[in-house]
Amino acid sequence: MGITLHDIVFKVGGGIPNGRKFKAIQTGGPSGGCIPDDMLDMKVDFDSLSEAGSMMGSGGMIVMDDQTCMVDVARYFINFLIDESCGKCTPCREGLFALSKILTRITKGEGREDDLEQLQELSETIEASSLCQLGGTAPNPVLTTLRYFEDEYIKHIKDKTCPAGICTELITYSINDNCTGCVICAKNCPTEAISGEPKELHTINQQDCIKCGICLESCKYNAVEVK
Amino acid sequence: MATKTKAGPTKYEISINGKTATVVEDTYLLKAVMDAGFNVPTLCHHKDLTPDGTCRLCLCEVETNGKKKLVTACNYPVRSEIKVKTNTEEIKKHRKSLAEMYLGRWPNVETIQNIAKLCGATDKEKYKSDITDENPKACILCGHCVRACSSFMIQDILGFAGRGIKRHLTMPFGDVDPHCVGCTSCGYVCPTGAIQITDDMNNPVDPELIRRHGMKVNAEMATLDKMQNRMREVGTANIVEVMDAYDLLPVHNFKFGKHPDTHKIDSKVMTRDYFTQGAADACWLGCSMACAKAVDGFELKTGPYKGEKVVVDGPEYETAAGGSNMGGFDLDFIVEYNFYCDTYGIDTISFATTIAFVMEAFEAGIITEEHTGGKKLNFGAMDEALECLHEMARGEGFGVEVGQGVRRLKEKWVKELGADPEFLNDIGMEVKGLEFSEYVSKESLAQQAGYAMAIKGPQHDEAWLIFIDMVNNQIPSFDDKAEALYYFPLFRIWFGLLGLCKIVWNDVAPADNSKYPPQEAAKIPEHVENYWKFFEGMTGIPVDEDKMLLQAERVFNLQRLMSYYFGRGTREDDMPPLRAIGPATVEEYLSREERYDKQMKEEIGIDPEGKSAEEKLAITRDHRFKQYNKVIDAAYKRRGWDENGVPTVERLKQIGIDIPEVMALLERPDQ
Repeated sequence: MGITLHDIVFKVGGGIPNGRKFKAIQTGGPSGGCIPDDMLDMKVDFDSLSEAGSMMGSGGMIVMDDQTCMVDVARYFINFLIDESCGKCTPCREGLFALSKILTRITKGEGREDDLEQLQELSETIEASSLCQLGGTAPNPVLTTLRYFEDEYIKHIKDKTCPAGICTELITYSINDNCTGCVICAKNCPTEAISGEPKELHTINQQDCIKCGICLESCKYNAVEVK
Repeated sequence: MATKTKAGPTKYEISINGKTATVVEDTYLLKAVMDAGFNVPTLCHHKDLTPDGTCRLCLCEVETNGKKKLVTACNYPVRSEIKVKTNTEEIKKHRKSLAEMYLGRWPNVETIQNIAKLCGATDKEKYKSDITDENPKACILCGHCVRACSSFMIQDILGFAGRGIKRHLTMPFGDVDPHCVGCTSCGYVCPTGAIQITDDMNNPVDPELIRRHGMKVNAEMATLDKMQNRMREVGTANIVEVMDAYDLLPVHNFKFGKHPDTHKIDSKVMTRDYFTQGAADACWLGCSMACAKAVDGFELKTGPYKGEKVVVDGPEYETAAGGSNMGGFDLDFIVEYNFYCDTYGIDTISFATTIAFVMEAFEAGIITEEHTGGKKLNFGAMDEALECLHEMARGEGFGVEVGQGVRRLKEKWVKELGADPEFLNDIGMEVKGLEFSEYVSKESLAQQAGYAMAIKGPQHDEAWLIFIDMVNNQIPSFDDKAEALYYFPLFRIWFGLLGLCKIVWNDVAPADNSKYPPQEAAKIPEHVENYWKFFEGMTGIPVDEDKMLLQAERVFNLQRLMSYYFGRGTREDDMPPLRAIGPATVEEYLSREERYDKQMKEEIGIDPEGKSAEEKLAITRDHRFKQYNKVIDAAYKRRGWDENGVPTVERLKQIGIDIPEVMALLERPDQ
């Protein structure tokens, strides 16, 4: 108690692996909130966490780097909570399902202008009117990502892009000039979407690409790009 | 038999939208709000069912000590002086949002559409999804049916399965449960028509009418019994401690009305140590009262099944009170004699009252161990009483004599042992050869007559008036009592003829039954109406009080005439033993000396001062018989019988059964 989030992540936990950038920390389990990097100096205690829209909860923490899409994170946790909901009261049963539907369509690039308003409205009603604390805290992932990462939602909805490169429907993989024609990516591609002669520039056939990201991970020359 | 609380309930002044309302403690807020004239939308609430708080539409803001919070009004009990707001902007916002969720899922269900309108939700498309159900009669998961099954029928045949959005209504394992008797409660409370009643067996003329009143019964049993009698929980055993409290529990052959050891056989002990099933036990599956109870795994200590573990159906009140009447304040004994009476086909009441009589005769020295086969049959001799029971069944020893019952024992002991006939007649608790059932009727004239005038003998199949006479004091005058002795036997005969049970008539009374004047209230008019509607719904023939009384009176008079024809059914057969109407011995007089002395002074007008106990007993005896005769005179008159208790030709004409076959019964073959 009283230690800062920063110290937990960087001193106790050893920081972000692979030299990546810190993006957010989710505390307290699936129904906790996501706290951004400019709040890392916050001390860990019940009141501060609640004030930030999260909670102490189980005490668990999930640290996310810049390759994490916050809309996708919210969708993931809400889907987890849908399975946890007992289904007895209406807001938790119907409301979480409605939240999931909206979040899913945003990650697919089908988001609508008023989706943010609906997410906010649903979350507030679920939080205020649920029968138990599962429903009472379930909207936290949505409410905090809306609060701290609203621009990311807007990019999904308006620009139809996923800045973190996670939402598969909104991204494309391509190969740039760094390619040496080592053929590793083509060998690893599960759908054989990559073609090219050895020692020549490779290309990705977008129709066959399932955006699994294996090419990106396997390339040693930073030749695979996500946009 | 609604029991009243003596101290008034705690009340709170609460503020609802600025309006002050006085609310009884533990009233649910929704009721308080509605009573104060404010409308609050709700889907899952049903007036007859335990609140569930699942639809969340009835959200209200409650302020206590300056702190505000949102609660669901339907299941929030008022327990302090709160400030309530039912319609703030925040609440309206949430209600609208909830209604939109409903509308997205079940857009065509009328109930949902009405609620949505009320909450200002119109957009059916907003939360439309791949699970949207367009069926106008879809199940909306309100849970009325599940709660009706559990609280009306004490069954859990319907339930919810699946978590979260997969929640759905089902029977166990998704199969049709054979335990469902088709009581139709679920269909009745379903607000959308998702549960349809497809078949009405026995082809009643108007099943809806029957159902409407049946559901009224169900709802009252579910909501009122727990406050009035707890018969669903403890069966009729709850009466043991009530009777003891009113000095009406038979103890030692009806000598006394209470005993310090009653606590050993009361309903608390029965529910704690004996009624172990923890489940509803109804005479027939589908009864919403389910007052039958059973003892599981009871190890028998005597008789042919000694050492075996058995299930015992009961004990009911009269069996337990039979125990106290024999001085057996031990539930092991009561359950054991209950089991063996059932097994041997012997009535527990006749057995207990006969043994109690034998015990008193033994203590009075009329019979000795020589006659009983060496058994010391003092009050409380439980092993010996059980041995008598086994001998009765085997047709051996003293059991052969006991098995003849009180009347024949009296005759035999007078004839063979030279016993004092007056003493034996005074304490031998039988009329028309049937042993008294287990209530002390000494202080209730109406009950004395209700017992002794009953055609088949002193049991309350015809009239059980002790409560309305003594406890509730609803029939104070002779005329009131005569009217009760006219109406109640006829009503009981009438619903008995229909094959209906009395428990749902007067054991539980409507919460507001006392709004009727006392004599009417005693009839429980709204419950009598239920029985009329059952009759009408089945046959298509409407019934009212006059028609019901006429139907019953024909049967009642026919029964009385048959009794008369076979040599019973006159005034002398309606005379009770002294002990049924007052103290029969000096010991008994002295045990309640203060009460009897006071009555002598105030009612008889004789000063008891300076009189011996014997003199006072004689005066009381004389007075009590006079009173009794007055009451049966009044009752005979009201029934249209002559002073000998025989139906008059005039009356038979009035009720339309003056046909030759009936008239012939007036000619006794022995005269």
